[in-house]
Amino acid sequence: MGALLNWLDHRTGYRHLLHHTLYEPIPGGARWRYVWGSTLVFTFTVQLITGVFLWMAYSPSAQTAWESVYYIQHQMEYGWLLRGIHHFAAQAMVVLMVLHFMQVVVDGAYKAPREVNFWLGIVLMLIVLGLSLTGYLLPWDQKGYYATQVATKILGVSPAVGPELQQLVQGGSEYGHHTLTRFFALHAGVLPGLLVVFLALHIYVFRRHAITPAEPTKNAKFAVVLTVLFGPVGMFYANSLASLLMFAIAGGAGWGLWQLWLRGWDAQTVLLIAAGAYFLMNLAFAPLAARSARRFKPADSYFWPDQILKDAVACLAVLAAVMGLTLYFGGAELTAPADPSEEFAAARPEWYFLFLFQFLKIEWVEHMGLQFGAIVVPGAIMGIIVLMPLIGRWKLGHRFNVAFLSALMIGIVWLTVWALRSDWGDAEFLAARERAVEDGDRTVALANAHGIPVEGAQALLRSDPLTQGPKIFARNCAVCHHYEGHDGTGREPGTEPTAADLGNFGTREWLRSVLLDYKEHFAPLERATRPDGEPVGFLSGEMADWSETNREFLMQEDNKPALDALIEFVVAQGRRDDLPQPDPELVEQGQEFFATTTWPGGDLPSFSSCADCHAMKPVGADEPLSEGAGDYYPSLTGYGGKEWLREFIAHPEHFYGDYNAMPAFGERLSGEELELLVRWMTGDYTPEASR
Amino acid sequence: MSQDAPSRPPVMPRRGFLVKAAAAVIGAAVALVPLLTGILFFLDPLRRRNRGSAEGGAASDGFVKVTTTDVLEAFQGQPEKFTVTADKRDAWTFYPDQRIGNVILRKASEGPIESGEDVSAFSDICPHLGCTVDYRESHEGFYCPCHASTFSLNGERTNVIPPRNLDQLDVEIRNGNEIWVKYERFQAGIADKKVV
Repeated sequence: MGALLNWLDHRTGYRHLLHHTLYEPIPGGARWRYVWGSTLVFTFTVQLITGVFLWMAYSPSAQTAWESVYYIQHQMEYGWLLRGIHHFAAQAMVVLMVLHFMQVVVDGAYKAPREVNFWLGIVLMLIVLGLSLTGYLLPWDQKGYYATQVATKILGVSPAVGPELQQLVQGGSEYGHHTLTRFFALHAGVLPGLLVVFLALHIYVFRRHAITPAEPTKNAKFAVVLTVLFGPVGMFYANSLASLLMFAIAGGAGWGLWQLWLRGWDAQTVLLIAAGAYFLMNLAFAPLAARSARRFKPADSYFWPDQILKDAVACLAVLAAVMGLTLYFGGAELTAPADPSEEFAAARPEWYFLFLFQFLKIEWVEHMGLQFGAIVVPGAIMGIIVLMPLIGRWKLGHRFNVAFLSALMIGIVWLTVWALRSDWGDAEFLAARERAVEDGDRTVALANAHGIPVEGAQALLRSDPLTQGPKIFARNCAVCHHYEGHDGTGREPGTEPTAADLGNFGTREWLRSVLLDYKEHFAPLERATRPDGEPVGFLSGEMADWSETNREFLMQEDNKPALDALIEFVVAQGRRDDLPQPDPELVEQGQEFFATTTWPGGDLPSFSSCADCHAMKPVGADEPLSEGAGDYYPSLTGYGGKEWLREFIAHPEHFYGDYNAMPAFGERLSGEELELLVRWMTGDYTPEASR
Repeated sequence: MSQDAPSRPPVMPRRGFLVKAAAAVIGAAVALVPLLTGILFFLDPLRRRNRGSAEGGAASDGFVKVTTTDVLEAFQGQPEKFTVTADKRDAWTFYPDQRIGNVILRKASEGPIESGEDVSAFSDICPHLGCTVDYRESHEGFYCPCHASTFSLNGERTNVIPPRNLDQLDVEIRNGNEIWVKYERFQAGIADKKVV
């Protein structure tokens, strides 16, 4: 083994390289504060590994992008975990990058001779932001699609070459196959390649100048701040023995206060005393922290193993956070497949771009135009950041840089919180967001049940009665009819109903209500008018009279089984699979009561049976049971079933003649829309709703 | 050690060992988590057999209707290729009624076709390395143009190139005159007939 390694070293000189890499001297010893760069390299490595594996299953085209991500997420072993890690590690990378950047500025690590490395870092930062922007689109779901639209539209307003730039990035004038192939090439090829190159340069230049050692006075200040804020945990930075002492004091005091609380002291008082005592203790220990930190002159050490251990522990913490988020959220989200014809009112960029989104919504910024808010201002800020090393040469330059960065960070946090708060208070946003998630879940359920057609997953939703039925209902029917009190999609209807609520149409409850409480059931018709301007007469019509006259009689104990049987018979005509299946024996009995006025409790008070007015040809019968009494009496053959409902919606005048007040939708709805509406209303779809 | 090794060890050797071990173990662990997740993900195809093969359009027992007895009888014992059409699922995509392959059918008995035993059915995929075999009158049997495998009319190999005979498929006559074949694929290149 040794001989082999010697041979290899002789040919490659790997030992020198390894030695050079591992034994980088660290003046003042290993520190936790040096770990940020390493955690960034680590997250990038995680992204490379998970990204390459995702690549093996991802297919960039408008018809396969969502579909392949669905397959990764819901069908392939550990796919959700892999995608979740990639998703959350990307966010961790942005957070770590900001921390790294802030530390560099605060410590003045951009000053000579490290200016070039600072600029290399800026380039890396832009590449990482580019990676997250391009990655957001790749699943081709509603969320990514509409959020990225905003980004490319902004590109389109850049000066001079905006539209051309936008077309180049999109691979055409609209989003399509080539948007995905281009974004994917950027995301998985160009940008990671550039990142590797610039990262190598960054590390090379960094090694050339070594770490920026903290000055003792700065160390002391830092220790004081840490100790005042975090008590024993902060003290650990300067003096571990004192830290232990503080832990002991805090523990003792905590125990004492707890006892007081147990003895019935007011919780608020106890907490107040605890907080006060905590800060008093911290303040008392602060001078010790400063002294220890100033005197602290640890031995110089090397990258390996001291700093690497700290780096590894920090990476472990990052990984734990990423895994925790992945497990908590069950992996990354996948909303409904992108569909330009489906509105999406909840388009938002990834959370770390929210500040920019909110900035563009500020009134005076909007007033200044998109170019100002989206290009000029961010460009100017970027310009100042790039100039930081030069500004830093000026006497007050460093203070300016720190102040500028602080103001920028406060602004970003403020804008982000503002954006989140206004979204959480925005019912429309929340509803749109929930719909996108629900549509996503529904598409997944459909894909699991039926597979995805060649046209893509979009077609699944477009041909799904459960998804489209409510929308068609809301657009066409909800002006007059409500659906369980809402407009079909769950939204508050804009108008008062002028016709029956159709939420339970064709069910046993519906029929019972029509027979016993006709006037109540159709009460909204009071407000309805016929096309000729006359009020609708149903509420004073024959059926209303029948219901009123027979109500008491039908509700008598001895007629109850007969009424149940009659309802069972009529329900059976609809042949609906979504309702409890009718009992054949009851149906047979019910058919009798449909056509007779002789009931168990005597004669029907109205002296007319259903069959006296309504046409009926029972399911499976060769001959009609009754012919009906004319144009104004709706046929009940197949009542509540798909065929009956289709015919009724298309041509209600065939059922009510001149009395009809409902528009004929045969012309207004396409055959496909009518079919989707009818199938939704009769519960004819698979898989069943899971909500 | 090369010459620019540290002149004095910065830490005590014993503690150094513990730190080194901890650094190496933790470092390896954080790198292994994404790598192992990726590898498990990559191994997915081994855990889902037959997800890519014919489903749906075939009956639940895997039989597919190929033709009718009168059509096959008209060929009078000559082998003939028939296209197999069935629903196909490729990863996420569901293709209804796709041409998924061919079978070679031949009336193998005297008299009319009455049961599956009167029909011989072979997959046209060569058991050698998966090219397509064809009936050649000059060979009085089947011939594979890739590596010159030859088979007799009843599917037995007639040279040593293929490792086994042509893959025979189960046949059933259903609904009086319909010929149904159980369409399967087999591992190429081995002596055993093993479904993939």
